[in-house]
Amino acid sequence: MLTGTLLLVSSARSDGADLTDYLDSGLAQEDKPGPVLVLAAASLTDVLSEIGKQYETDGRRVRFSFGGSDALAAQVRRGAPADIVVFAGASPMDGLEAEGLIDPGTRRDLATNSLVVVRRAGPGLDLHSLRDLTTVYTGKVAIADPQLAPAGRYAEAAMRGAGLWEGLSRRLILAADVRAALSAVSSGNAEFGFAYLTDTYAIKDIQLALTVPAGSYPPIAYPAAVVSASNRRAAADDFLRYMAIDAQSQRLWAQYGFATDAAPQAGATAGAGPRASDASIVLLSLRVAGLAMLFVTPLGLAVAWLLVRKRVPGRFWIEALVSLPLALTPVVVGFALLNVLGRNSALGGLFHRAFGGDIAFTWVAAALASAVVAFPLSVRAFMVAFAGVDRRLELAARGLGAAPWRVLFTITLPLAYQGVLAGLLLGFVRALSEFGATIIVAGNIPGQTQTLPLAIFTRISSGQDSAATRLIITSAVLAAVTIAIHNYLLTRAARARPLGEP
Amino acid sequence: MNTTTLPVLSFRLVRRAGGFTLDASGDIGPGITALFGRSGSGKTTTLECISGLRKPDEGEVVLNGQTLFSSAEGINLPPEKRGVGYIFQDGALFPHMTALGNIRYGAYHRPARPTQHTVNVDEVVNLLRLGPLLNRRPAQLSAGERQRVALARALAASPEVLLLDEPMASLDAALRGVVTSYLKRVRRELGVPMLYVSHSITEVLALADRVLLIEDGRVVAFDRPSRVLLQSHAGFWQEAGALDNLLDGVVIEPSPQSGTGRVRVGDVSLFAPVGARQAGEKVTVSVGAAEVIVATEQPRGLSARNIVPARLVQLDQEQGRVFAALDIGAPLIAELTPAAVEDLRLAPGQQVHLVFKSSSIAVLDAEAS
Repeated sequence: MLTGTLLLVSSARSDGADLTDYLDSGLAQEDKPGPVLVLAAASLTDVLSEIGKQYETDGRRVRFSFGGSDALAAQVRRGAPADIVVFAGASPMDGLEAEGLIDPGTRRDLATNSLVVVRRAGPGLDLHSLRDLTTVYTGKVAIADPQLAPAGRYAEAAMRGAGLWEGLSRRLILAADVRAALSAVSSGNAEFGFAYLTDTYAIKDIQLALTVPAGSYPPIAYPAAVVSASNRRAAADDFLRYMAIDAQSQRLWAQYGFATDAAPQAGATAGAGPRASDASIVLLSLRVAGLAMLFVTPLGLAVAWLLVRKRVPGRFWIEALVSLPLALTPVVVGFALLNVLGRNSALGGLFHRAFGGDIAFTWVAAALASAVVAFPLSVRAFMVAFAGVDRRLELAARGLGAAPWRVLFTITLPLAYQGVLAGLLLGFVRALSEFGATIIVAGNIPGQTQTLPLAIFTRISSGQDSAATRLIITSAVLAAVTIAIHNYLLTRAARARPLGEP
Repeated sequence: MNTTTLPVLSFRLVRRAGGFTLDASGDIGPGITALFGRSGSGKTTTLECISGLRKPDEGEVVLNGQTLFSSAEGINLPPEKRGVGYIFQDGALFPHMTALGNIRYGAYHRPARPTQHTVNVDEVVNLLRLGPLLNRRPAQLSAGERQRVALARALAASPEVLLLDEPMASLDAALRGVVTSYLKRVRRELGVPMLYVSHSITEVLALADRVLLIEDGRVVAFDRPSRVLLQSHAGFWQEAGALDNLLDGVVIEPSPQSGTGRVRVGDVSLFAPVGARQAGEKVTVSVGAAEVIVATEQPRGLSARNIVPARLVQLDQEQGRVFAALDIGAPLIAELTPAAVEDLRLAPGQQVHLVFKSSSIAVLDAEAS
């Protein structure tokens, strides 16, 4: 599915990429200021956040964006301004290495993990070997979909090795990722589930049923490497080495249940890792949605006004284009934006050469993603609002000597106030809840681009259920407050007019 | 009495839409010109083309020497640059502004160019007696008040010509009299030329200095109201419904006791309920067309006190109703039955006597003073 998405948008990839690479390599001799950006597999969220915190105590700075490994690799291909990548499994890294997008000399496995079978916490249901899944038990078995997640591919390999794959195929529940597979087990929908050993400590109501014998599946490694296009090579090398061999890091890997060269896998002793405070997440979300509406409002009003009041050629196609983000999954919007804003693109590359910074993977990119997705909703409401304004009043104002733009501000907009307000509300609430496009073009960087929906997703994925619930309630309250403000503004406007007036 | 002056507004307009073709032209002078005709004859389209709200297919519009539109020269000024005031049927007041806000809107956007009349807000508020209404919103105004505010708003923009699209269509007879008197006041005090769309013969007779008669998109007559309305066979009477004559008059004999005094209208004097009005006061006299009785001989022994001589100008029969156009020094319409016309053998040019009760006459303030 992801591959299809990439094909759809890859034609926009810039011809100037070679030039950009050349310029970057020329400039790369000295590091750009700013933190090192690490794109890392979601399953490493807790341990890497903790390692990053330790690393920063020396005054060095590092930022993480967590996501699925295949999606992260796709972001690097589209010019995400990353310095280091850390994947779950070798294949995404092999792909980037073959394309020359990472520095092979820096590639190393940071840690390894093992595959286990889990069951619901409680008595009974013990496994002695994988074979028991078919000979003793008849319930459902949850795995991550091998098409979507490396964990599923490891589980498939192990079952094929034991000769169980065909026999079990009818009893499999294919989940979107490991966490979803574990949820299927903890909720009782599946009798057993395949997961990484490290996952089992984070989720309640789960207990280990069997450790799948090493060798029956490919080694589960977490390879890291410095991105070829990085312009903070020295700092990136330094942090990569810190993650791999520093004693503090070694201790943290072990604490979270991973095995390293120095220490075999023993079982996690740490709880959930650090995270941004709820208040800072809410503030960031408001800032992102606010900036998004600053983009949406003037442009949306202009487009709506043109469509309603002017005979624009190709009106139907403009309307269709405006509504397109409604029909497309936001992931497509995200990749399309990354094609425009990424360092490999004409625009993003130009910005990068001119200012040395990036738009992609910043909060501005998050606002742009929210703006594109909110745009059609606001424009629709604006159009209805404008269509409801008596055209003769606008003509009367013209007849009194007011130029068209004055008419817009003194007659049309004040009379369309309620509908415009509704459009702003719809757009703002949609921008607040934007997820799919944001995580692609802005990443999932705590404190920088991790908005409310991304934070909720991250917390649910890492089993921090109560922390996630807090944010969900916060989101609901935020939506309610927004609607209350909207209603207050409406009634205030109504009170300013006498009764009986529309 | 006709002095040759340059027209204020000259237009020639061709516009095709659907099966209808408007092909109208006119030279409008000072004073009030009525654009008169049936519904659908192209009156409103003509006004819209002059004001720039609609674009004609060809033609030209020239206002005080300035070309507003010319298909030949490729000129098409936008409405805000034309110096043309436009008053919609219902006033089209801005609902989110007070009456004063509406009037100021007109003054604020007044085009920065020399016009013959520059009207300020205070002047127009006083003229139309809007002082007590200024802080109200349109929804709190009556239909007649809304039209007065719309008139004030248009005048505050100091237009070189004022176009009115049936401004009294939604008003009842009493309010029409009031608005009529205000329009006369504007004509007298400000001298703004007006082009006034109407299909009401009453209004036209009461207001207009000249009438442009338009039929099926073409101008068929342009003359004084009495000539156009009384001599043409326009056949629009049946649209008039219950017809009121609105005539200019002056109180010549007040009667504080009984309330019934005498009013001069045209060449005759009428007994009418003048109330407490003083001699010399200008009034508008309203007489229903159906209240007028026509006699071929001088009647005697009647209780009705008004028996006046008149000349029958024309008879117009439409769908079982007969309208007699009469001349008493002012144009007057009487509605008769076809049987009565036959019995009396009425014919145009005949001298007749008109009878009506003084109680069938309403006296309205001409200037709302």
